Amino acid sequence: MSVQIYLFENMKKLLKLCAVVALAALCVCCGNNSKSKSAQEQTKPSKRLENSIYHWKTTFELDSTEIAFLQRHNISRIYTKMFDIAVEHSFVSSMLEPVPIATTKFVSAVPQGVEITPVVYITIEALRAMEGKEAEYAELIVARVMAMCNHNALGKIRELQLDCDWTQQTKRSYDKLCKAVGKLLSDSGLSLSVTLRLHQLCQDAPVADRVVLMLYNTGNLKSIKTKNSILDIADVRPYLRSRNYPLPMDYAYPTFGWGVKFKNGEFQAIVTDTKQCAAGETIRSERPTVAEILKVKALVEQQLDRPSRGNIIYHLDNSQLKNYTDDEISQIFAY
Amino acid sequence: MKSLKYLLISLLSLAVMQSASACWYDWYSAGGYRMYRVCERVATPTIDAEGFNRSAEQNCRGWQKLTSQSIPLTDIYDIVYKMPLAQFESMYDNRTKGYDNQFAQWITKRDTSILEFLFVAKNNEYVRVKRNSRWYYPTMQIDARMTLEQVVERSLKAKSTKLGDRYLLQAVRALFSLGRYSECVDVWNNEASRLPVNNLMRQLILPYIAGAEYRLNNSERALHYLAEIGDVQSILYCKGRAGEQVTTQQALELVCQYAPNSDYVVRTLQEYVNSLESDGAENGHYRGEPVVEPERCEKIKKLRTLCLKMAVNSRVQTPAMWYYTAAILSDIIGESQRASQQLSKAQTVKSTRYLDESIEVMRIYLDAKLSPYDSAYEAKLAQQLKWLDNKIVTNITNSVRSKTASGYYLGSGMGYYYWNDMMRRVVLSVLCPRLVKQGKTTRAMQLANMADNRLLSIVNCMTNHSTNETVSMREYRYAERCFNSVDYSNHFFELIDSLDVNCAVKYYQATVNPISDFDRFLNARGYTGSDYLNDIVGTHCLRQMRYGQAVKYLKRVSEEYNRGHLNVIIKYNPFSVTYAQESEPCYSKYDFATQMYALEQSINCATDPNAKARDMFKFAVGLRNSFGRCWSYTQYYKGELFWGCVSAKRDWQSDKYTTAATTRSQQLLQRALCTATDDQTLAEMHYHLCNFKTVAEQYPDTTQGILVHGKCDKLIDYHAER
Repeated sequence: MSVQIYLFENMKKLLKLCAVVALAALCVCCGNNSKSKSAQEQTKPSKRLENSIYHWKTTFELDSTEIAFLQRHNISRIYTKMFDIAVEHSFVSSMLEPVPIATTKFVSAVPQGVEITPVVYITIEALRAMEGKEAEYAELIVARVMAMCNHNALGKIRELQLDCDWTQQTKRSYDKLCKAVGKLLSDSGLSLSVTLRLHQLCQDAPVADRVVLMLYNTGNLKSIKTKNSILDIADVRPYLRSRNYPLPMDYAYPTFGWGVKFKNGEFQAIVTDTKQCAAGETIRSERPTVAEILKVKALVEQQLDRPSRGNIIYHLDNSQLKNYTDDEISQIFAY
Repeated sequence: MKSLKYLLISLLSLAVMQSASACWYDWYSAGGYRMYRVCERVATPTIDAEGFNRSAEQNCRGWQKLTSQSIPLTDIYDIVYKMPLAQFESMYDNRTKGYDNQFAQWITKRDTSILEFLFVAKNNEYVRVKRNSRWYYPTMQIDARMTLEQVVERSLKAKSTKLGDRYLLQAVRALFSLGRYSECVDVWNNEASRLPVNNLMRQLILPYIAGAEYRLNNSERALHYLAEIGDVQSILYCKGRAGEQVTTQQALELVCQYAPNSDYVVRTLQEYVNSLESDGAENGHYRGEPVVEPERCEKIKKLRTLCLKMAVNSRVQTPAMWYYTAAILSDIIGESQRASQQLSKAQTVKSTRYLDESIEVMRIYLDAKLSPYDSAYEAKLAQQLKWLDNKIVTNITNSVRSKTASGYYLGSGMGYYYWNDMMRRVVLSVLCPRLVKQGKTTRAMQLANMADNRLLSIVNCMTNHSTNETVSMREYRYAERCFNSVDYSNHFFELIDSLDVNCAVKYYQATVNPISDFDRFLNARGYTGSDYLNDIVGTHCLRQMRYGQAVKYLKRVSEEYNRGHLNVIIKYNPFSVTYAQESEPCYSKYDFATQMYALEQSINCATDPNAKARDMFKFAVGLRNSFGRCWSYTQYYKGELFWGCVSAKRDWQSDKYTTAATTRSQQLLQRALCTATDDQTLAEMHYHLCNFKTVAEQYPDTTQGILVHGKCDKLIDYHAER
């Protein structure tokens, strides 16, 4: 037996051992939750779940605290926004054309053991402007994302995600775009995921390989009557009906907060400083508590199933994450 | 009651129709012809193709010069601008193939150096467009046969060939896209800046050099180049004022600071000052002399200050342009004396031939405004008009000919041919009103006639819009199928038709027996057709109830003209009391004048009171009808047949002639009733006047009395007679 084969056989044993240990750990982690599962569910073959996080800034520059955060929570995937697609007047044609804006600048290297899933956010106006030219824009999107990944050495890319607040009226065009992007990706062995907002849950599934259900920004930000526009279980509940969604689904939970400023009952702005308030102004401080997030999480998993690949938090920003303890973050990630 | 309702509805619809038909299109007063001229207005591209602009046209013409004048511009445009790279490369690879496109044929067979150049240029553009696309990201693959580096290398090698200037542009474009800015500047300093200033390639290279200098931190130099090309937004960007909105005045000030002789300054002044001049638009309603609103006045004064500052700036190459501009601006705000002084300065400083001509036009205009109208001035005016007339004759283009023949431009008073516009402005807006005020109506009419007809006499054809054919002016004026919308709606007609009949007669005499050379000069350039003038004077006489005189003039109008020229057909018998339409026009103007004159004579001579009364009655009816349903005996427009700027100023319904005629008609009717002694005659007259009650009560035994009693006894119940 050659040395290579010997090593290979030993490696296989080692992997088996790791899998057993991981499964045991998973059982411990999921503790109470798994006890409540039905017997049928308990007999499901276990999946390796992963923790993920969104990176939603225009500069990818991780500081040591953020890197440590990723390590402490075994985060193996960062959904990284690469650019937005919005409409602008074309210099050449003077027409409104979809163009990439707010392209992320990569300063830091991708931490070891972390896979990047590039995300492209498409505004609804841009989606409308793509109508009839979806295949053309699909090529531009994929080519640009791949060029960015190569240029910035983002590692092996296996998936690309599209994020768009599509509606029933724009769904047809979005499906065409997804189909074209998915085809280009599958030719290179990549898959396509898309984000899903609560209101999109009742529509036919988009043409993608998997979806991420966004469990944040669930309420009406601009209404003074809203209690918490980032996350309110009362806003979530009506959208969730027990069903088998046709695509593998993961969930993204909010770990951020902000202030919403109103003047005489009218929305003014989102603010970071929730204390500066002039006459006639009120600031609604919004930051979902872990208890609220976990309640939503329990409801979602009860109604829709456990996540297919794992939980995701939004988003990688130390100034926001410092408001949550490691234990709290672990509870959000836990299965 | 029902009838009353119908009547009201009919009247309302008539009112609506009249106001609507008066607004066929805008027209402009002669004071609205824009005088300011420092450069040619941007010509409309000759080819109606998407994206075809001024520089594209200039470039295509450049290619024409390098190949053959017989190659159509569209063929060049299709290859140079429209053909995509892939298609071009296919042509490049298949040179032996035959092409329908003459330019393609030329460059693949006769001059392949152009094919080689376009191969480089198209590859360059293809790569640059990809790289400049918002979707581009470094490391993206661009599938072109040449890289930008190769474009640079090849272009710089070819700089001394006949396509050298074009290759320089390609080199600069590629270098700029590659971010090799100092090399861009080197190309400019060593090669491109030496090209003639009007070289299109030089003009196209300059923006890149400005950008390169800016990126090399040479902002001042960048600002000079940007000013030269008039890129105000980039100037603001370089000055740290990106996105700031500036007024045209501010933009001019900015550019003048760095490049006072830039073409941008001239073009902007042309456009801006034109916008400050009044366009004289009347939008369907005569609004009198244009008024300068306070806001416009302020803009004008600001610009004038800049002009006077620039006129004494030592860097300025043509101070005459600035003094001339100041003069124009002063005149707009009513300071004509000051304008004249500024224009005198313009005439003494450095100028160009083009500007000199504009200055001369303004001098003619200011002289017309400011000089006392005496024999000395008239002699000067004659010379000035001869100069202007020569310009009209020698500069006429096919476009001017076709616009003139359309009739629309002249008819609406819209400016389209500078020299003729200026002649019309001087004559119609300045001289004619002055002369009329001074009582020199004949001269005013001679001038107005020239202003309206000079161009028509040169072009000598007109589009007959009802048949869409182009006919000679003679045919247009005489043929029955042509509707003459020219001769009875121009300024001359307005003048002759609105002045007293004696003025019209005097003018007529001056056309028949000219005294001076100036008379002859003016008459020769106007339309003085005997039929036309006699018809106008005769109609004038009819309007003023001068029937004997009317006969004299209308007798001279030929049968042919009578048949063909009239814009309206006389459908009714003018002496009929009833509103019955005749199958054939029964009375021409001349016939009517003759009849009226005869009746007038008869009334004066008749001794039999009943015969006299009948003549009076007939005369009164004819007189009333000639201002009513047979109005075309006394005027040219009424109601929905209003046409053009002339009619909008007239109130045909109640002017002094109509009032006088109506009054006389009523008086004559009363006199006729008082004169007649015979019951039958009186009954007939009362019957025609619908005085049925009187007929029934006072003349029961007459034919009309029996008729009313026997058949129409109900009439008395609802007739208005009390």
